Amino acid sequence: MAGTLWIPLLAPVLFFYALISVFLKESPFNRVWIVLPVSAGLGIGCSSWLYGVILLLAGPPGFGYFYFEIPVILCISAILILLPRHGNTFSPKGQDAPAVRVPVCEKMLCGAFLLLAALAAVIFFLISLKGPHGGWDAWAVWNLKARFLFRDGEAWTHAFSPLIDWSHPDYPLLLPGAVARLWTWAGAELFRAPVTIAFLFTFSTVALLTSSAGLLKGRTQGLLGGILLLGTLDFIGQGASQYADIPLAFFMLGALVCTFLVCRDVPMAFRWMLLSGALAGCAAWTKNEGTLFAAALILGWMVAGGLRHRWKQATKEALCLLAGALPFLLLLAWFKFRFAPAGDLFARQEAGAMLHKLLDIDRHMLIIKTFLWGSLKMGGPLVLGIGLILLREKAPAKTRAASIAGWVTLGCMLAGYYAVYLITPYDLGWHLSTTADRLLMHLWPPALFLSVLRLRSNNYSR
Amino acid sequence: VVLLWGLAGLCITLRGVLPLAKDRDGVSPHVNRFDGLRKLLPPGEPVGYLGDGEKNIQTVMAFIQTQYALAPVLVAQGTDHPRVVGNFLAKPPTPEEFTALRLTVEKDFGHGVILYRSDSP
Repeated sequence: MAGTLWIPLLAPVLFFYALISVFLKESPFNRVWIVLPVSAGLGIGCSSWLYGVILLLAGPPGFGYFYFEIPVILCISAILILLPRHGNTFSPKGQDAPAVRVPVCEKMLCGAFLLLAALAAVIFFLISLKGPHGGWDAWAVWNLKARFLFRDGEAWTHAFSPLIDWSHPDYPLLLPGAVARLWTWAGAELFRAPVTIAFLFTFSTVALLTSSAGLLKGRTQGLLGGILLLGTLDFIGQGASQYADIPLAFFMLGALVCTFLVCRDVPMAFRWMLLSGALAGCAAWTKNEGTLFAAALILGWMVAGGLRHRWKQATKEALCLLAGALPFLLLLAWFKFRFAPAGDLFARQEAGAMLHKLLDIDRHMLIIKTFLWGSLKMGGPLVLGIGLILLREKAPAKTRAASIAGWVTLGCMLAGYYAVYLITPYDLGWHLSTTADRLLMHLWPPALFLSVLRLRSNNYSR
Repeated sequence: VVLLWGLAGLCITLRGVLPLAKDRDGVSPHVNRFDGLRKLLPPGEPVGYLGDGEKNIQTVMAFIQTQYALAPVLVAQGTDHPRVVGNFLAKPPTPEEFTALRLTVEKDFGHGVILYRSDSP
């Protein structure tokens, strides 16, 4: 089956494209450039979830697994596509978009965006060609786990052995599961499996940011956001390195975008919230930081609800979000309690040592300095900051709740990262120098999305 | 400004890639040396690990790459297991050192990869 990776890759994407299109068929925000990247992420995430369920139940599935998986998802997709529908079709043609002439400068911006995206794709493939095993964390953590899952049915639980504690055996399995699933289909460890997954996540993040900001604010803002993300130092590099950080950033961005659509599309609010929950659940199944994100998003939504004195509605919506994330959280809990060893942060030190670290002012200064320098180094935040100073406008009342929830979520994430560095059992300088850039990258696409929505609209924005 | 910034960011990334494109991948050559050894080891049995002497970023990387190459066999630093994998990028230990470590060579795979049998009880 080598060479036909597109079947197991595209079947779940098609399934989610059909499912979301039917699930949100009444929504005016059910647009192809939003649904497609979300479907790509959810397709990979949910197929990895199903692989994870089978794995934890009965060990790594063999090729026979696909005799069940692929026909079932293709059949359901076909039924969803053939369902008689009223209202919107799969790719509604912007029924609320007025027929306006696109100005030349916007066309040029669009052309420039496409050129930069093409250049970014070339760079991505050059990096992948140079290092098909990925960067350090890819072969030391993610692809290593995938090898444990794929290579030998009997010894797969060795992936969680304390003997290899440097490989974070407690990390969840979305990425290794997705890679091992493709290898199982191909019957070989093809380099192009993790490379393709990394490519899909990297460019789906760009597509989702551009399309969602374009839809919610205006094409210019969307394109500027996309260009800023593409030009962010190390964004393409981290994506091509096959790390789990860009998939995590994608799921965080997707979940936040859906909360904005909850505010803009009130009749479909619960459905968008369910989708947001599913994306937050995927984030939790990707990395430990994703669990913090899911919790922070619920907290952020409740805070936003509280500030608007709409506790009851916010609680209902938060429960809906939780329901969407539940399948992933249950699998994660099963994995953590049954298979994964204790995490390295708390297992290696006592309360007294942690308290001492909390009160060490030098540690605080070093973390703040690294965060500031890391943000400056990425480049984009500086340009965006200047843009916001010059062109900022008030958040629209309609989406203020989502905006508050988004910033509270990202604030909680940043505070969580800060706290983890503060009490880390490792040498702080080493820990910061090897991880801070990647952790800041989790926050950058969602922060960019929230920020470009505050840039002043032009006449052509919606 | 944003356009120029985006272009500059991508150009800097590209500049970082191009000189290294000649070297291709640093992992494959290291990992491929273990192909023969991997087929010989039963997956359920952890093995010890002996690398070049001093601990630095290269030797740590060599150890982790060995684990990556041999998965699902678990590789543990030290000679506390019945079988020990030797991975010597600089030079292998002398026969005197083998004796001191109570190790006998089971098979030499070349390129600095040696499988030892531990004589420790």
